Amino acid sequence: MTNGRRTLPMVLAACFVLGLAACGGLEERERAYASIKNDFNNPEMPKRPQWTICKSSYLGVDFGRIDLDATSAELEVEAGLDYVLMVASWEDPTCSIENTLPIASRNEEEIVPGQRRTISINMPNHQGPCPPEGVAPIPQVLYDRILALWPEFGFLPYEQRTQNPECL
Amino acid sequence: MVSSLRGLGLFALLLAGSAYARDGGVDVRDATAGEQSPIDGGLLGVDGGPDLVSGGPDLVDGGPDTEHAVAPPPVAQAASAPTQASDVVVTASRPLSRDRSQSSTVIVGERMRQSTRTTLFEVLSQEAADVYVPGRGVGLHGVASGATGGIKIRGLGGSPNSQILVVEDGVPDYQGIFGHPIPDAYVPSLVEDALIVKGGDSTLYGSNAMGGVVVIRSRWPDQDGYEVENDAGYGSYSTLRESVSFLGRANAWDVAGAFTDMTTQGHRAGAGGSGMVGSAALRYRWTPSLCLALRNKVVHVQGGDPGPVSTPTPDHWFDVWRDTVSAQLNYRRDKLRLSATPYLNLGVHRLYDGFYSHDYVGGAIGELDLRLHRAASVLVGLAVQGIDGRVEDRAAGERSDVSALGDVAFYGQATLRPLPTLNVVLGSRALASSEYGFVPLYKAGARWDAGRGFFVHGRVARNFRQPTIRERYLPYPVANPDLKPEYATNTDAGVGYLSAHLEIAATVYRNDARDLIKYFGAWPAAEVVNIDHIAIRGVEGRVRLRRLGPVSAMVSAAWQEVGRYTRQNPDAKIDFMVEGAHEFGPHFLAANLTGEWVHGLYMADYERQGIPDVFVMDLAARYRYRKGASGQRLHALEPYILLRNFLDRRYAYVSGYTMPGFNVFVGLKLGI
Repeated sequence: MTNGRRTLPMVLAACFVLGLAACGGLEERERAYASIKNDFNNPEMPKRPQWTICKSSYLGVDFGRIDLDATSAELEVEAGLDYVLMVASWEDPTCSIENTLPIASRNEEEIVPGQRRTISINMPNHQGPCPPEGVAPIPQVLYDRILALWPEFGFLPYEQRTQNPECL
Repeated sequence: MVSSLRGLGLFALLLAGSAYARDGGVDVRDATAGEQSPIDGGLLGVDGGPDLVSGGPDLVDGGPDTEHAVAPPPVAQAASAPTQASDVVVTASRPLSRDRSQSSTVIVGERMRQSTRTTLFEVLSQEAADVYVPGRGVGLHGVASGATGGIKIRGLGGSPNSQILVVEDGVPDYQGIFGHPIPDAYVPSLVEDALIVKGGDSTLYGSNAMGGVVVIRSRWPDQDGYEVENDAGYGSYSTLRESVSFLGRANAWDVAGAFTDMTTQGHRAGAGGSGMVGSAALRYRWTPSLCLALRNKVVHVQGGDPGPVSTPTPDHWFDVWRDTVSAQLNYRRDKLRLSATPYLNLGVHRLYDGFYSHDYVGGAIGELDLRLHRAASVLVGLAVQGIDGRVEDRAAGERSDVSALGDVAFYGQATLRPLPTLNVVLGSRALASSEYGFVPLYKAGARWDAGRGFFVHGRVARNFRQPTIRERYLPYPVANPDLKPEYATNTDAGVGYLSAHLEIAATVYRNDARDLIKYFGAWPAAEVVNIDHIAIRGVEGRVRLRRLGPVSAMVSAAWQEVGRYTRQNPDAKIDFMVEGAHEFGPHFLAANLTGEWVHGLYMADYERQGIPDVFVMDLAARYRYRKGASGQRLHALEPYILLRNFLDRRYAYVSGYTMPGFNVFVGLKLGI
C-alpha cells in the first residue's frame, strides 16, 4: 500500500508528460500569403533608383514581374524566412537583358503561419553586384541562386559580377 | 502540544526560506523532534549553506498559519532578551508565493549578497537553469541598443523584457514607455528574498506576467534595536562598489534603508558606467495587526553601449533616472489579511541620439485574503493602473504623440484543501482596458504532498502582456495603435522529493503564446502586428544536496525546444554549485564554486547566427569573525574574494560583446 502511494505520483506525472508530448506533436498549418511591392520610387526616400523588377521569387514561389509602384498578386507560400530574389532592369520597363542585374532583398524577410504580408523592395532593402553606391554587396549564395533560377539572362559568374553590362 | 507547535513552527520557517533560515541551519530532524535547532540569528547571519536557496514549490505555503511559530530562541534574540523563557514566539516572514501549485524557485537575500554574479538578474539565472539572463561585462546591463539583462523564463521574455514582470514589495515595476524593468535597478542590499514564478501568473499579477514573475521582498527589522552593514569592495577594471544598509526598530516604528553605488571602467572601451540605487522605507505599527509602510527608491544608471568589438560605439551613452514611491497599509488578523498599495513609478531617460522621455506608471492594488475554513481560503483583489509619458527626439526637435493606457482589474483565487495533502488552486482575473477592451484570464493548479517527502504539482495558466506605448505610438521603427495584447497559455507538471539532505525535482512545461507582437521589415516599410503562435516545450530538473557534513551542492539543468524564435533563447542550460562551510566558535569559513553552461545560443531566429557555447566558472571565498559586544550587540567582520571566470575562458552571450576574462573582486563587510 505504501509503495502504491509512492508510485502513484510518478504515474500521474508520466501521464501528464505523455499528454504534453502528444499535444506538442500536433503540427500546425504552416501556410501564409505574401505579395511583393516595387517600392523603389518611394517618395520618402532621398534616392529612388528606377528599377523595374522583371523576375521575382520568394520562398520558392514565382511572383513574376513587378513594375515601379506596383504590387504583385498575393500568393500562398510556406511560412518561413528567405530573401526575395529578383532580376531588375535599370530604367527599362522592357527588361532588355543588357539592362538587367541580379538583386536580392537586403533583409531576410520573414512570414509566419497565417500571415498576409506585403514585402517592400526599395533603396535600403536591396543588395546587388555592382560596385557600391550605397548598396550592400550581394552574397555569393544569393547571387548563385538567382543565376540558377533565371539562367536565360546569362549573368556572369560571381567572381566577375561587377563586369555584368549593367554595372559598367 | 507545545512540542508539535514548535515542530510546525520550525517547519514553517524552513518552508518560508525566512530570515532565520537564512541565518543558519534549520534541520528538519529538529523540527520533527522539537529539539533545539541550530538556528543562528546573528545580525550578519552569513552561513552560506544550502538553505540560502530554496527551490521548488515545497518552499511555499499559502496558509496563514505559517506566519507565527513557536521556536527555540535564536542567538541574537536571546542576547537581546535574555530574560525570556526558553520558548519565544517569533514571526516568520510570510511566504512570498501565494499559489502552492506553481513551479517556482525561492532565493533568500543573503545568497544574493554573497553571489559572484554582478547583478540580481544574473544571480537568479545562476540559481535556476530555466532562467536565462545574458550579460556583457562586469558592470551594467544598460538600456536601449546594446543592452543586456533581458530575462527569459522557460523561453518567454528576453529583449525587450516585457513578457516577464518584476514585482518589488507588492508593486509592479516596469518602465512606462517600453514596458520592461530596468535590469540594473535591483541590488540585493535589502532584499529579504526573491521568488521566481515560472510559467507566469497574470491572474494575480496582471499584465506582463506572461512568461514568469520575479517577486522581490525587502527586509524589515524583526526585533528592537538597529543593524548597520557596510560592504565595500574593489576589483578588476577599477570596479568600485560601496553598499550600506540600515535596519532599525524602536517602539512602533521600523525603518529600513540602503544605498549602493557602483562604478566601473569596464573591461573594454565604452563598457564602463555607474549605477546608484538608494531606498528608504518607514513603517508604523499601530497594533500588531495594523501597520502602514512607506517606501521610496531612487535609481540612477549611467553608461554606454560599447558596441561589438569589431565596430565599437563608445559614445553611445545613456542616462536613466527612476523613482518609485509606494505606501502599503496592512491589516492582519487570524484568518484575515487586508492590504492596500498605491504606487507611482517615474522615470527620465536620455540617450546619446537625442532620445528623451519621461514616463510614469501609477496605480493601486487592494487585496483581501480570507481563510474561510481550514480547507478553503480565498484571495480577492482590485487593481487599477495608468501609464503615460512623453517622448522627444531632441536632435530633430520632434515630439511623438502618445496616449495614456489605463485599466482596472478584479481578480480572485481560491485555495481548496479537500484532503490535508492536496491543494487545489483556482483563479481568474477580469481586466478592462481603456484601449483594448476586456481581457479574461484564468489559472488552475494542484499540488499533492504524497508523503515521505514526495510531491506532485501541475498547473495551467492563461497570461497576457499588453502592448507598450512604444509599440502603439512610437516610430522606432514603426508603431501600430491598434495592437492587442499577447496571450500565453502555460502548462507545467512536476514531481519531486524533499528531505533534510536531498532535494530532487523535475518539471515538464509547455508554453503556447499567440497574437505575438512582432516587427516585420525595415523603415520605411516596416510594420508591427499581432501575429503568430509559438509553442515552447521543455523540461527542467535539479538535484540539491544539503549539508552533507560541511559540503552542499546543487545542479540545475534545463532543456527546451523553442521553435523558430531562437534569438537569445538557448536550447539547454546547466548551472551548478559546490560549497563548503565550517564554523568554529566566532569564526566562519566558506568557499563555493559556481558554474554555468549554455548551449544552443543564437543571435537571430530560425537558428541563424549561432554563438559558441558558454561555459564559465567562478570561485568565492569568505571568512567571518563575529562576536557579541557588551553582551547585547553583535559585531561582524567579513573579508571576501570573488574570482570570476577563473579559467579565463573567452565567451560571449551576445555576439561581438565579449565577456571579461579572469577578474577579481575583493571586499570587506562590516556589521554592527
